[in-house]
Amino acid sequence: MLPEFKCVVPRSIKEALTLLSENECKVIAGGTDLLIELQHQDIAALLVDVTKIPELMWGPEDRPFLISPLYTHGFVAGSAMIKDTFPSFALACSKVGSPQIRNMGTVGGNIGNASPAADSIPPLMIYDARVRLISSSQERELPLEELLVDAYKTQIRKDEVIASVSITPLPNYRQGYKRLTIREALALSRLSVAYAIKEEGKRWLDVRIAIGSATPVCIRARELEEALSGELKDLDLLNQAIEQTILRIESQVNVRESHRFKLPILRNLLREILWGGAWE
Amino acid sequence: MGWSMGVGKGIERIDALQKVLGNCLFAGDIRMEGMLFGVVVRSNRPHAKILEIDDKAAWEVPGLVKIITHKEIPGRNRFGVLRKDQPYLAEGYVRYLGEPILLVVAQDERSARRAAKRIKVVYQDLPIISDPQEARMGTPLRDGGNLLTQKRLIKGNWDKGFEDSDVIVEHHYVTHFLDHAFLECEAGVGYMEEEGQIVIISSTQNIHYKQKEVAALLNMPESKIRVIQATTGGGFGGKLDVTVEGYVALGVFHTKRPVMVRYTREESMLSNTKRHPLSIWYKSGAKRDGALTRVQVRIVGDTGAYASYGEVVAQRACVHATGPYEIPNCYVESLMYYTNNPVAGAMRGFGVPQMAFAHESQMDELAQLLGMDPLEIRLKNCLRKGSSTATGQRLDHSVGFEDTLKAIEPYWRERDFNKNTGHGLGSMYYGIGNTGVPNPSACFLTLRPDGLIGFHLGACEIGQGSDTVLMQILLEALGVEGKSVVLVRGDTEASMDAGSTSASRQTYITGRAAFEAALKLKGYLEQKGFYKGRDLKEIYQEASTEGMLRFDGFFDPPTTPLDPNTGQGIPYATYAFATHMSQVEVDTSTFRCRVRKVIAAHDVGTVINPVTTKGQIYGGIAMGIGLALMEEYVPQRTKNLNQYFIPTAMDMPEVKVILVEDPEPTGPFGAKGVGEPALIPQAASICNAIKDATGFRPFELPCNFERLCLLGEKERAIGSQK
Repeated sequence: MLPEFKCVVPRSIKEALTLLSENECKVIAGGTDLLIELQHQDIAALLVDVTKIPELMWGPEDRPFLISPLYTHGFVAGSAMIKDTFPSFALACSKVGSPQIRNMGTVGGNIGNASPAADSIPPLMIYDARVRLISSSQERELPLEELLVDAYKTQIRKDEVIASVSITPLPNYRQGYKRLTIREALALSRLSVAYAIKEEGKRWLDVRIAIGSATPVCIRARELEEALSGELKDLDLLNQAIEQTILRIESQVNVRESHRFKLPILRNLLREILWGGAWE
Repeated sequence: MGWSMGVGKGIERIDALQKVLGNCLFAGDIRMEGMLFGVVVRSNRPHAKILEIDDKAAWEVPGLVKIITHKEIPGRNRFGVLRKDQPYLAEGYVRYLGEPILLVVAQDERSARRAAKRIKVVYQDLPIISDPQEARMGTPLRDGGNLLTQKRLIKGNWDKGFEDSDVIVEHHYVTHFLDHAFLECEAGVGYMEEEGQIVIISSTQNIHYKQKEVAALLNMPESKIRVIQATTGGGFGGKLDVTVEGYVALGVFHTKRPVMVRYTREESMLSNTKRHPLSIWYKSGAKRDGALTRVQVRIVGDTGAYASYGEVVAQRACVHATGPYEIPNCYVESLMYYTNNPVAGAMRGFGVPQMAFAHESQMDELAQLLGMDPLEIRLKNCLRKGSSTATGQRLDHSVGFEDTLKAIEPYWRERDFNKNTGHGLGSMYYGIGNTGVPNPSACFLTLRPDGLIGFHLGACEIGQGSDTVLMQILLEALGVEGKSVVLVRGDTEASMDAGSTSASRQTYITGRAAFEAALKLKGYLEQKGFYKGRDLKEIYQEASTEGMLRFDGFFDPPTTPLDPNTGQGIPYATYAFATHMSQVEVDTSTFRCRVRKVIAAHDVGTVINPVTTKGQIYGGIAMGIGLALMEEYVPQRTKNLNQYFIPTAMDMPEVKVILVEDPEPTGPFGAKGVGEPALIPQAASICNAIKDATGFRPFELPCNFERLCLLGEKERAIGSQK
């Protein structure tokens, strides 16, 4: 059962930042993770609900490559413009939880919570997402990959909020998102892969792969990307590159029980994605 | 509600409108003036001595009213369906994680939970037994050792070897703990009447049993305890044992005020009984033509910390071990051990879904060795009229198993052989009612001054539709319209004991009791000219002077106890039969399985209501998908539904139900039951379909992508060695 708690709903960014700098608070941006966490606590910190701040609200038609932290997963999944420009991102958001969770949970909340299984993070990574953070004293921008420190840990300070996320479109790339779940809906990803691949004939021109739920922090598979980008498609090369990524994952986790199945499945998924679905 | 409510009509459920309108009160929705809230403080150790309990900090919470320990229990601090072995509140010793220690009663839920959290319990940990194999060899957890029960079933020349068999298949099957995950968590409210009677309104599957247990707990006569069933949101066996009722009763007894106890999902998952994990060693032999020669089965089960329904599950698993086949020789041994795991109890099918997974896998393996079609081997061996079951019971009537196979046959013959898609069959038989023991049901009808007929029913409607079906039986038997009957249900004060809503027994047993009561009343009404148009109010006047206001119905299915050495006997008066065919698609990259289509053929006897019967089967299929592919309760790890996956609507396949009706002469209008049969063959058919699709067979449930991937990797490793 939820403890009693206070929640303030600031109507301007200034009000929000002042609150955050002067009090012990927690930002709430949808609450689909936070409220569950709160259930197990006796006393809650002051919540600052950022979802009514006008400065954080805009539409994709206003700033097409700048994602508002207040976009809900449902909004992203349904926006024709985002689906068109960032299909992997839109697809991933359409897979989150259930309609209720998608309509409450936000992109900013998903990043701030930094779950290893966050669905929006791997696709944002392949679009080279940069996160702008503001506080009452400063403003800074970090690549999403740097922002995420560990499972549920980010570089976001207690007095900062996410102001925007900028991403770069990848026209003429084959893009998508695959996730593995125990059931069809209402389930966290056990493994996820966001991809954008530019190909020409038998050559990979540019390969971008981000993997979720395999490591404490979602990762870009840089070694695999570098090994394949610009190369002629070759199964041995592909398998070698995949093994490098697997090795890196193994080095980052003390191969948990779950990796006994995750790694073989990841191999299969990467082969399927990179071989253009023709893998046998 | 007209005459058209009779048998065989797919009428709307009589509780549907009020439920849809939100007018039905679940126990957790009840509010009473001055109502307190009780929270159970539970052990956070699986096995420990309690050295000290410090409640000082709890008393700092404003609103705390009372802390109740086992010392404040006026009567028997033990409950249990067969053995009274489970304490309501621990007596210095806990045997499982979540075992109740204290009851905290406060002004409101928040204060009660806050106070409960502040209670410090000092434990001395004891070694844990977490597996029945350890239990067999390890330190006894109680006097008399860790073996709860041992059941045996022997038939024919069971002690001969498998020399008479041309092919032998031997495998080991493993299943895990499962949670019922009913929508409504356990809840109850109680209060004290002025005359000192204690009334409990709870979410339950059996009011009369709860009445007896609470009376013993409080050391009060049963007449002083009244149990009323609130609208109940699912049970599946999880609301058969005493859940909140004992705590509600203790709270009311000590405070003399209304008390509510309502579990959160975490409390429910921690404390409720689970499906028994069974470890099954199964050896089957057959002749070259597919005729089964013998089976040898050893079942080892984990009943957790207390007995609950452990003996029932051991017995049922034993009796149903052979599946719905005629096997001349068999040896089945079923053992059930105590451990420090959660208490395993009743859950839809009492061990038979686990057994079906094993015997149906065996049938397909035999078929494969023999080069036979899986349907052919089932047709070859199926129980028919005149067959003898494993317990030596001759089946003379209502044996529609072959009909279910024949109903599936056209779909089986025309199945498409797509890549990565497999098809599997699963068959089952299931004894309706309790095993080899009397399990009567009684109900009564009254003539009322308002000119209506009162239908007094002790059977608990838990969402499955028994109220509707029993009403249909009554109306058909009585030849009256629905508007003439008032249903008075789920109140120990106003009904007779109908037995539990379990073992798929209410339609068959209580239905027959209702039928019997209706015949008596009908005879009287005929005599009084009711069917020639006389008014019921008038008849009531005469009946009251004649003392003819109440008409009782009773039925106890004819069974015999099983021989304790051989397991032979007539454990059930009748059996339901079913065959499911599942189409499963396996993603070769991720090993994720999706059930795409299910054809389910059931012999339920006469169908009373085709719509609710199909509803049961759809639900059984959903639950079977959970059992086969998703659901797994890991003791000490699984805490909530975000870790325990039940299928959602998105996981449902296309389902076609075929109802095969082979009437049961002892049933009301020929009806049997469907509650558990709906589930039992489903997981088995999925596993056979997975084998068909991938070439490798799951031996452990649930067969999620993790297990299937590891199985695939293993098979590949073996393949590459060859």
